[in-house]
Amino acid sequence: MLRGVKRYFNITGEISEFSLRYFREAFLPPYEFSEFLRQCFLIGNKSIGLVGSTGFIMGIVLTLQTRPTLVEFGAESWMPSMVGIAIVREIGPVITALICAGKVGSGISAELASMKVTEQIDAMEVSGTNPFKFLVITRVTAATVMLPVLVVFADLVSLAGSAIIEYAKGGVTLQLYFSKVFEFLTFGDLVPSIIKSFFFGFAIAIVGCYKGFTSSKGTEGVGRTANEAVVISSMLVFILDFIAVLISDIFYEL
Amino acid sequence: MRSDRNEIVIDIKGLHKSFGSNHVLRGFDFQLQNGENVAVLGKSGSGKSVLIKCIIGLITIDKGDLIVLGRSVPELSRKEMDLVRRDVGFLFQGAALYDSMSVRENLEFPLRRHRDQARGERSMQQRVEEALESVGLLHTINLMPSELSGGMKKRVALARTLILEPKIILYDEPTGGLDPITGREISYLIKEVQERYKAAAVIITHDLPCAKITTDRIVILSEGKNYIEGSYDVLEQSTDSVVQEFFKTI
Repeated sequence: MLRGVKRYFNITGEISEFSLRYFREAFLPPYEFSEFLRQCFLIGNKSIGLVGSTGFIMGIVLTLQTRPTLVEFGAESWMPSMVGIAIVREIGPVITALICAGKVGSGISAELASMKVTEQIDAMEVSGTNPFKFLVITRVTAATVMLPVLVVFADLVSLAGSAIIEYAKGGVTLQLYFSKVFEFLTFGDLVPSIIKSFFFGFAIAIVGCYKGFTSSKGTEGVGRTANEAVVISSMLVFILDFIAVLISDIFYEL
Repeated sequence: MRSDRNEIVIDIKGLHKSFGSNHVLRGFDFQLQNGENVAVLGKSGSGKSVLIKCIIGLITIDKGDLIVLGRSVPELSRKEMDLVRRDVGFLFQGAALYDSMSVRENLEFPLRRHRDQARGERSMQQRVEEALESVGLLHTINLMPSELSGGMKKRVALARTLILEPKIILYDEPTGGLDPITGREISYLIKEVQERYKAAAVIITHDLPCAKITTDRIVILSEGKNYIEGSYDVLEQSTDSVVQEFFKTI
């Protein structure tokens, strides 16, 4: 038990130190801009299919599950606004972040860990390249930038799924559905969700990079670090979401 | 500069390195002259790889003097170390080719990092082709590392090491993990490359045929110190039990 607590604090400290190193080195030249763009493409391209299909299904499921209750209370006209707010504020960012934790976070940690095992990181250092800048800063920045983009995409696809069900079940046109959604959605719903997505992206990538960069125990360690990266970053997504909700709640009350 | 054969390019005195309670290097002394090829022999875990990783600055030393190309490695900043590394090539045990890059991109990578070195009459494309041709693998230029055999990976890695035309090349077990025939081919390739590029070399190995083919001098590393050194022929005749232990294995 005591060992577990000690390990928890050790990992927390090391990830914090790793994050500080990111901020110390990210703004200093040289800038690996082409690698950053490549990572943006990879992260976006790798996840867009999964994020889109999951978002679409979430929109459909949420509408199908909620509809009977709202119909019972004669409140089905509230469906677009209710689903819209739920997706934009909470479901879109969290589901997208969890998918990225599983796909992007584990991919980053496995890639870096295998690079470490096969001495590719040392080879990079010997070539006169700072591996932290080339591998970590590019990936973390790309994930931080791309996650909000994926969240907006997931929100739109999810709303489209919901709109199709509303059209099929209640004869609500797409135009009416979306005008109802945007009637109730405000910047106060959108902005906190986008801001927390940046933090989700940062957390997922920094944990993936940290686990990959500090991996040991050879090839056995590669699988283990990928697994640990997913567990830690998923936990972090929920913790960050909790903090974001607490903070945004203060602003809603003002 | 390379014509001065007596110039000392690596000078190590009293090198110490420990990992916790494991004292790997305990006062290692070593000198390498310009254009000279030296093999460092030792049992597994004797600190051979640690030694060359200290030379290239991948591992920081605990104590001692370590001078590479006239610069004291422990005192160098990252930027200064990168300048030294431009003149020191390193061939990794497992080749360490970047999996996500093609053979061409692997070779271009150090050139892009050291653009000033890459400038000149020859274009990047020419340099890459020349380096690959020197290891006989020009036809692999557009392949990915996963499509190459173990021996081919070593050759491509050697081409990547040569592309900046280093003054010193450090080889970490160049024949490790290869079958004896491919190992011998790689050894002859190293010899050929060393003669052509006239670089000094430290070859870490426990493969005696490789040491015999590639080097002028052999240093035996035992218990963290240079136990004995001499030419292959001299050491082969030695009656010392530690030396004999190495030679009786072939």
